[in-house]
Amino acid sequence: MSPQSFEYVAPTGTADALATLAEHRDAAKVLAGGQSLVPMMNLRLARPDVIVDINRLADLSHLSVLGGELRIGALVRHRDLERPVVADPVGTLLAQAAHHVAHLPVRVRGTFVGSLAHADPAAEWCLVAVTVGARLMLNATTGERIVDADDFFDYPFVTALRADELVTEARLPLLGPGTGVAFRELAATAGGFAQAAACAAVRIEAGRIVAARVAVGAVMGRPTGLPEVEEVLAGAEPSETVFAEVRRRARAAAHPVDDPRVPADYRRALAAELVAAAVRDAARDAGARWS
Amino acid sequence: MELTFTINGCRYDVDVPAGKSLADVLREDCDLTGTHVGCEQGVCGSCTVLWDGEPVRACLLFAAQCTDARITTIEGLADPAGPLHPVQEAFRRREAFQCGFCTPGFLMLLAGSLRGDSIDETELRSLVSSNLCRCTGYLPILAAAREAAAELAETPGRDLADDRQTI
Repeated sequence: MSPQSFEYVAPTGTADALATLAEHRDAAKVLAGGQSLVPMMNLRLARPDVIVDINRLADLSHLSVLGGELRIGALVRHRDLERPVVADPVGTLLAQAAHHVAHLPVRVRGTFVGSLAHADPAAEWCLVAVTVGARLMLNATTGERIVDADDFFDYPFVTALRADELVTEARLPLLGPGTGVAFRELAATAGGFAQAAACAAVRIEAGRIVAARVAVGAVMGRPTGLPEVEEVLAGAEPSETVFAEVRRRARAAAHPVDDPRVPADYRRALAAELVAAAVRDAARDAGARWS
Repeated sequence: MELTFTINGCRYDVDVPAGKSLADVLREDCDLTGTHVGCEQGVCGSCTVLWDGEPVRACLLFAAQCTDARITTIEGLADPAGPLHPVQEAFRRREAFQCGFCTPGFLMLLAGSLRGDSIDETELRSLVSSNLCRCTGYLPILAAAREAAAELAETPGRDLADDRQTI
């Protein structure tokens, strides 16, 4: 099927783009990579009256490190993150997750920030953003605001983004040398949507975990941090006993949405396994050894 | 909307709705029917073309977005009077097609990805899994892709982002 007819605008300056969003609000949708939006338009699940193509906004394609953060502009493509873009574990984490994002032709056009704005519960980047504590820059004609990733995601495809706002940049904190990272996902087919995914970042000093961030994705309506897992890891020496407790707590914390193709019990068990595996991988990546 | 494209090194002037997909424009307005339309969701890959030498889904691009890109379609992969592109030659040798519907998409996917860097089996399978085939069961396609990858690793093919072919 083809999309409902729409007005197409391709501003060359961010101010013009914001003015168009302010004018049309909910009737307008931003087009960056289009790899999620256009399929929805082709199915007529999305029927914007106005498409604001931001691909001509050259100042949104930056990818740089500033003030201890990796700044990912709105036009950075998934493909750009397939190899570590910074010599910090956050670069490695992004590269690990990138290979799970759809397929190569989708990664050539699709954008990191677009994935955050779209907020598919199974999206890899949304999970990474919540795990590392990313911040999102939201711009409108009225000004700019910064929202933490954890406050940005609400329900499937629903975020804190207002109708007149554009996400111009995501800022991911550098994790520091020695931080172990891991991303784990299972999908039914290569490039398919995750049935469950887990992401972990772990710091180890003198054989003990001194900091841990762990989150699960694709299992609930949005990526969900697991403080109950982080609690058991705090101060612990990595061991199979600890990971078994991680698995148990992750299982208790997972409340899968019901899906005719993916039974909730299976999804819960899968989430628990992937969280334990991600924590184990991150600990090993941080240099821990255990029997 | 009046739009001008650069496709296979040629200039095409069309007048189409801004929101018409590149796949439909290629087929209906440029008489380039080698690019096929399967799912319009970006999943099947039968619409795969090259944008500045990289594989993309033509069904997910609006005509108005495509005026700055150098687009290559299956018609531009080889000179009709000359030799086949190495991936086409590998597909021919391995009989890696039956009905042919998915074939242009696979050829463009591989021609735009196998750049002469070495690629291991896992990466190759991951790459080939980008597109769907309903006929072959994939093994001949994988075999052809493997051979083409090895051949291009030895003698990297021409840069398809350059405008070399005109049809």
